[in-house]
Amino acid sequence: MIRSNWTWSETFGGLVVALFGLGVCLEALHYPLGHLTRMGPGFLPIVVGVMVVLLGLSIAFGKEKSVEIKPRNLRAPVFVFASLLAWALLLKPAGLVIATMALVVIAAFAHPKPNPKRVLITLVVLPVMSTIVFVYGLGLPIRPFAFL
Amino acid sequence: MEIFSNLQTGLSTALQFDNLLFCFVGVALGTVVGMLPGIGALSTISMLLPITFYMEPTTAIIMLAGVFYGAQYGGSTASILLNIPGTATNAVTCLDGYPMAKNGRAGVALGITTIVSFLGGSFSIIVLMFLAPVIADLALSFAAPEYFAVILFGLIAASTMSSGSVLKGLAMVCVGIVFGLVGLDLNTGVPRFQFGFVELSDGMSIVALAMGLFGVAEILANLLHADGSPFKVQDVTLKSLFPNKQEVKDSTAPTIRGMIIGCVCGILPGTGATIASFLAYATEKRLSKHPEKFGTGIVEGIAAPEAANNASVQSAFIPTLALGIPGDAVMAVMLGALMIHGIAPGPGLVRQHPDLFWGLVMSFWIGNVMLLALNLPLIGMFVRILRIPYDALYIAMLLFICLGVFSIRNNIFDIFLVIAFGVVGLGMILGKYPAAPLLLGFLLGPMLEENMRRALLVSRGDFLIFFRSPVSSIFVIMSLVVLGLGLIKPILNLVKRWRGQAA
Repeated sequence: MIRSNWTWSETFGGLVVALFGLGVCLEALHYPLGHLTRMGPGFLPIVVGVMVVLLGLSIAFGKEKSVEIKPRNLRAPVFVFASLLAWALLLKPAGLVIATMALVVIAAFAHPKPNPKRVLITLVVLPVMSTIVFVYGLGLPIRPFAFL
Repeated sequence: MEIFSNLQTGLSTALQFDNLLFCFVGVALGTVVGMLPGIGALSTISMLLPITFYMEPTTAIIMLAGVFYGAQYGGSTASILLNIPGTATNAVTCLDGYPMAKNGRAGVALGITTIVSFLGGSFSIIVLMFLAPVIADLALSFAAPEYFAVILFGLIAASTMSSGSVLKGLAMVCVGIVFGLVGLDLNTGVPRFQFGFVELSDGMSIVALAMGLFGVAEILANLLHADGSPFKVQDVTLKSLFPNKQEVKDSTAPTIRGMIIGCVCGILPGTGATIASFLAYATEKRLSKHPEKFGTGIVEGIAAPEAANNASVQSAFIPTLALGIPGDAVMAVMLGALMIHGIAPGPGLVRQHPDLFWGLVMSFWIGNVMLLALNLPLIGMFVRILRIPYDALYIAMLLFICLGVFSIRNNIFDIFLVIAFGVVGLGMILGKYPAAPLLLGFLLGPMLEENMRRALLVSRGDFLIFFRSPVSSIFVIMSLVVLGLGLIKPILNLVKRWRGQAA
């Protein structure tokens, strides 16, 4: 298991929020602002964007009590997102069965102690079940094997 | 009597075969996911959303609601047996539930929590039956300014009254509003925040948002802290469930106070089941003649919070169904499910869809009775579910998320959206940014904008229109007060810091 001394930085988090708000404002400037009698589509986004910037800056520099979360298993996000990405990318070119097997194998490594026996069972059960339920049962337009 | 004919309509709707079946599916699933510490009602409901596309709206809502209140029954089981809350709302139950289990009274603890859960739920359903139609009737006369004010209050209260940082809550509401505005502007047809993606013209899919923020993020939150060992669970027999006379006597008053606290917390936006259960526990401790005994395994300490959280999940339906203003994330997803079916939430719902409203209310009774049956005689069977290892679960959940999101519009784009929201959700978990305000902002943002536009159009740009009717001025003033109270501490902090730097 990966243990780390990594901790969350409030300054960083707040700045990300503020940057998001700034982006919203910049983008919303392209939309017609309108005036108070007839609010344009740019009105609310700019108001909200400015609020996000202000709130983000106050989070970054306001020095509230900082959060202390020490995650123990930092590789989990990497493998979880990789497994979802693999499924999305493989579904059309390779088919449901292969995409699902890729998801199972990659996602298994997100667990701190992958259990080979259970992963193997999952590797067989999930593709079969999902093909039966979603392709033949609900009739989703996906092929089990794209190359057949 | 109008109410009797309504109840009859409701009962006949709730007793239809499909509705009964999916009510059972909902509450059984709710009990299971409530029990399992790795998965909660919110992520389950998010994951079930795609399935509801294939159902009648009433059936869909009955099932989703069943998951929600069923999870409250199941959640206490893990608290008592494992000292790990099955869902966040059962965290307080650990304090006295687990010591009871260690003293060999796990059965009694499980029995009492189930019975008070039923009582708490029933109390709020009765309140719901009488209060929701009254509120809805009052709200029928609402025009744009009133709606704007009520939505504003809902958003501000939800972000400032929940636990945690007020600044982060408000920031997340605003971010949610921005996400809600994505897509073609209804009034002018201007595409907003679309960046050329045609897939976003109808707005972002609430399913993708909920799956990413709640489904994927919850799996990640569990994996981040998991050490990988399965739980050890003791067996529970039916005989051990029944409390003795003294225990019944001790838990009666706490149950009644708990359900009143829970019912009120459920109606107010922002204060959901979690706060209700903490508040109920704290109240009992303060009123008790022997506060030092709390935490050692006494029935008062489990009866009050369990009555409170169940009362709160049922009364949360009052603002959601009567006004169309959800108070927490689960209610927001539930409203999302209604909107998917083209049913506009709002005060008209009770009158325009009486079969849906009263059918849902009657299904609450049926569901709660089912839960009583599931959780008392069958508890021994359910307890074994806790032995399911998490690694078998989360992979299946990930696949289910993918298939569910894909099935809605048959496009891969939404899965990338889920991944993006999963990344955002991960950051929010790490930094303790609350996710519920974001979802509320997402759902209510467009309604807020629409009503603000209409109100200002009528008043020709005069903001005083929001103070012209008593209802809207009350809600605007309450919003400002709640906002001010919430912001006092952060502002003082900022000022202190600036002064410190200047000196």
